[in-house]
Amino acid sequence: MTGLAPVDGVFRAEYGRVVAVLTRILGDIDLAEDAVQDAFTTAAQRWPVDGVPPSPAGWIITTARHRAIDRLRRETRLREKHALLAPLAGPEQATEEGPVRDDRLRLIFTCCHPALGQSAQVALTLRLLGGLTTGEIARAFLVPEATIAQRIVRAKGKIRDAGIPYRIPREADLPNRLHPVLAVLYLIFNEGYTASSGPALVRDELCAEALRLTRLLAALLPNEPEVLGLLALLLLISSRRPARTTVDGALVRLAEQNRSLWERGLMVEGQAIVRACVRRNQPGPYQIQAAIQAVHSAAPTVAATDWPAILRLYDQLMALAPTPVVALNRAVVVAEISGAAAALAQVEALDLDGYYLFHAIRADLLARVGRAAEATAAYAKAATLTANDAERAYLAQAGS
Amino acid sequence: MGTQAFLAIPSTMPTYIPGTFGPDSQNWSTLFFGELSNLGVRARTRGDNHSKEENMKSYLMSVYQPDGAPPPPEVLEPIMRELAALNEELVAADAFVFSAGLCPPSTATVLRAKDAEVLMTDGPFLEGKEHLGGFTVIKAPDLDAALEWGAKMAKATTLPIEVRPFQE
Repeated sequence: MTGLAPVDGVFRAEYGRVVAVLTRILGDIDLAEDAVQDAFTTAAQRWPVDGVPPSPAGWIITTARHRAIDRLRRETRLREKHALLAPLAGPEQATEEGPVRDDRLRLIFTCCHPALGQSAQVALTLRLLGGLTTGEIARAFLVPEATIAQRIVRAKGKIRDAGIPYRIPREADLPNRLHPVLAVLYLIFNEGYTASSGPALVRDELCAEALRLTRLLAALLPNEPEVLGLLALLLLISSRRPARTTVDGALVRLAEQNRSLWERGLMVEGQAIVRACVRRNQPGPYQIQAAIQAVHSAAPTVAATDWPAILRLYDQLMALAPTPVVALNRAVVVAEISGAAAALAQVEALDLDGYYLFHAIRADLLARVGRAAEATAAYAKAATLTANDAERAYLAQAGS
Repeated sequence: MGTQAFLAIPSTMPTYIPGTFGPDSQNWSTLFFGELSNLGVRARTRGDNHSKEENMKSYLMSVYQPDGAPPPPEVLEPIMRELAALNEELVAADAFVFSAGLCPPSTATVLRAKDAEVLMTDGPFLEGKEHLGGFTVIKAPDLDAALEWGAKMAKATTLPIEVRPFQE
């Protein structure tokens, strides 16, 4: 089955693009997906015999278009479909030379339309743009496959029936419409980076997919500072991946990580984007979070960390996004500058009782001011609130 | 036969709350939508834009309002003005199809067919603190356009608006 490998490679790399093009041509996501599926099935049969065509994606698009015509012709209600067939009968190159770049962007904004719930946005984005199967998405989020399948069917039904447009938002709407797109990519990455439940701390395939899609979005919208900010943030966090777990999968905190293991390529790329964002001077929450990570990454040792710079960035972040979680993270920096007692006072004032990191950070600060018994209780509370086995093991050990 | 004779099954909901407003009094939604309905008739008899309408979808914009007395005049009057302005805008954009306000949920009757009989219940189908108070049907090219009208409606009424597509 050596011939399957090139098809698989093209599938992963080009699925989103060909579905996006076919959705524009056919005006229907389901028809587009069926046609693309047919085309890949044909490719799996032909390419091992005929060889891989010079433009695999173009071949898939052309074949899918022909399959869509065949499929529509077979349908009994052909007359109703004439309107649909008309644009398909145009010259061949129309599909190839069309605004392919914009098609994927359209599809991103359709998948992350604010009229869809976030769980539907995530599932659709991974399915249509990432080319993940419902089974793969279900395994990544540890929910039954039927749940994901139903979520996708419902979302596609709403796109079709409610008339969610397949369109790039107007300039004036872009900041608002970009927000859910970035939130979905961030959520996919986060779920991969600290799996909310299960044995593995990290699900690398989700992180890789989020990074790939964010790179795509940054290539499609090169002048949106927050898109670049998210990309830089994901690059900088990803660069620490090799140092974040021990060989047996246990969690290693930033302060204890072996910094020589950090991936320099990703780190340098992320730092360069942050510098470009600073020069542009249109700050936003993702850019500031990326800048915070860039300051961490610039320190060869924990002791060399420029904590005052990080605190100033947190103050900026608090001005833009004054949430208790940001205040909690800021308090960790306060502990480095003004001591654990000052930080603890700030942490105690936060209403985050259901958040495991609140209890973990509080426990750490309690231990540092010598309140050992309370620290143990707080670690135990934190451990009961996370469903990730590696994190739970870390918290259990810290509390003992 | 009077209305009460039909209502064989007593309801847990009082049909009329003294001192608020009952079936006979003018209610909030009638205030909201009374004028709009007249405009709807005007818009429909005037509409003659068939080429444009082929790509148009219809959407129902439902207004969910709290049960009970309408807000005082100083609150209601600016709302009425905003709604009248929005309505003019809908008509001018040829997006207006139909609009109506409903009498309060206490005036509703629910019928359920069971075997050969039909059971009758006094009161709305769903118990709750809010009910459908009125609705406007619009034409829009896609959901984004419909949601823009819905957002204007939510701002004008200060109430939640549900936007739902018609079946094609």
